[in-house]
Amino acid sequence: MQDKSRSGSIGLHNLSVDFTSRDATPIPVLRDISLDIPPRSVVGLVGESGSGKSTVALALMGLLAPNARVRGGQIQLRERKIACTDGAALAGLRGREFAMIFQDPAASLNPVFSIGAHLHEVLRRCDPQADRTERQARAVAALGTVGFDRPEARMRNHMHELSGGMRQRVVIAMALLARPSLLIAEAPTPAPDVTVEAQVMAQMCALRDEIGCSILLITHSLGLVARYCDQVAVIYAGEILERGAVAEVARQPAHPYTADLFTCDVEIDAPRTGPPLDQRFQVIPGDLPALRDLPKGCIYAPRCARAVAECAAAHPRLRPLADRPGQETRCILTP
Amino acid sequence: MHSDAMSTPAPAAIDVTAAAVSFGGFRALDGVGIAVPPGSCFGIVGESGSGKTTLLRAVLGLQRLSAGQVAILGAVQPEVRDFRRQATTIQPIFQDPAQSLSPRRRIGQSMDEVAGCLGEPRDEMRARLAEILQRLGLPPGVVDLYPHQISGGQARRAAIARALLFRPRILVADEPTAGLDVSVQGDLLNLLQEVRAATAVTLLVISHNLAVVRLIADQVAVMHRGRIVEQGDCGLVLQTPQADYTRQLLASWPRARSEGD
Repeated sequence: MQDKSRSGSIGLHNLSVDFTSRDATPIPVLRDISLDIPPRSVVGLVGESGSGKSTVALALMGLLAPNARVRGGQIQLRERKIACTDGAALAGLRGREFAMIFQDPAASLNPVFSIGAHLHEVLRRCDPQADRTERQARAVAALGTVGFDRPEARMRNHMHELSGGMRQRVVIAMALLARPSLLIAEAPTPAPDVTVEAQVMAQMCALRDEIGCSILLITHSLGLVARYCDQVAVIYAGEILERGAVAEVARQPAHPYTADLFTCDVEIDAPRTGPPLDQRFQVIPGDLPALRDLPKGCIYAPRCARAVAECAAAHPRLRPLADRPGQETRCILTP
Repeated sequence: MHSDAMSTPAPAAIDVTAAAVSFGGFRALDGVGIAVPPGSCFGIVGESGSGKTTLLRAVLGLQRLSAGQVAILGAVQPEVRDFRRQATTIQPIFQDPAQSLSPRRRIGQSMDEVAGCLGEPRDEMRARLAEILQRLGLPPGVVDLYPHQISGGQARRAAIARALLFRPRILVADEPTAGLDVSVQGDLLNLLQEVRAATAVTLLVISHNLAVVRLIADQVAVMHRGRIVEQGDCGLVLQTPQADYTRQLLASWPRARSEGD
């Protein structure tokens, strides 16, 4: 087995993607997305539905829909530089350097093949030298690692015989065998039961410890980010509005959107003031901006309670904060 | 459980006793009992496969019980229900409420069905509808549109408007916030809260969102593997959980802000 040196961050630089609509106008769904994923770290890409977070994942995997056009972007992987427009190069990374766990594990499993067949296929692709006996042994071991009681028997099972959580573990076992440098994990939405979610996340972190990969967690849950991620990037309508270390961002959000997201999140120990009937919840008024007709200035300004006239004047850049190294924001109001 | 010493004990809005449902050898409900006081909010929490939705279906008369009974407002429900009559008492809000609107009908046409069901003149119903739409923040013109012409959020509201048009005594909501972003889930919850405040409707809400149920419910039942492992006053149960499973649920809850804050 070739050993991938696990040194150096995996970088994504200035990824921009357009979708072509039915009337042939390009819609800029991702604009200038940059991520830095340090080795062995878990980076959260958090955003609401329609923010483009899954498009980032699919662009990295080279699995964008046919109507998507990558306008630019570069992946930095150790000493290699790969253009995001280079479909063939991305296909070479897929399943070897980058592996993805989709939000619906059923979508990654073929209902007519056994679990064992899936695991064998991963090994045939990633390690063509291994013979059948060796593949079988490693596949069984992988199922054992992700917590199956009788892994030999499970090899013969099919997808429909497994629960959602077990399917998720099979997909994790597949990733384990592929030994990628980067695991892109889409958190399931709507969220499953918290107990299952906690198990799946624990398995992923164990996988990271075992093979030394980094994880990019695509989620809309701030709770998951806070619990499992080291770094976070907040994406809104195709743009990263803030990024930094999770502890810092949670303690002192540098963008009003991040702050608003935290305010809307209902905590398990939120104080209950008055009777249940009097409880009211925080909302962010307004909707996502139309991507065809983006505001000229800050894209969050139309919904932002703190916005001033200046916010609408010019499109702000993602800039580092002077007093908090490693944290970046697009908000011009943050000192 | 606290003992009531009220002078006139009103019948429970929903009273389920020793309900059991089996699918093959699988016991989806196993001796489940809940009593929902009228005008209150009752939450049912638990993971998927715990029997939450089966219980809700049984309450609505969509699931036959193999044992036990369901009483709505004091009336024990027959095995085969008269859904037309039931519609005025109890209304469901499904997980994806927009799906309860027919894609082939304008919103207004879906609403007219309510008038037929209630035997109410259409004009009177439309007048009430106008008020409800306004309360839910929907433009009056929405009645002339098809479901695909309005946003997902508006469709949710339209489906809730239709449920309210029946002037039901009981609303049953299945995972009302599932799949909603944090910035909009509050909007739907506030809406339900305002409806409750204005109409004193009883709300049975099923959710895996413990954080939300904790705030809006008066009482809560925790389900696990077809059984209720714990129930009672919401604050009490979630503050000092007695069952291991409830503790596990609370411990697994991911928190956005770190514990030490």
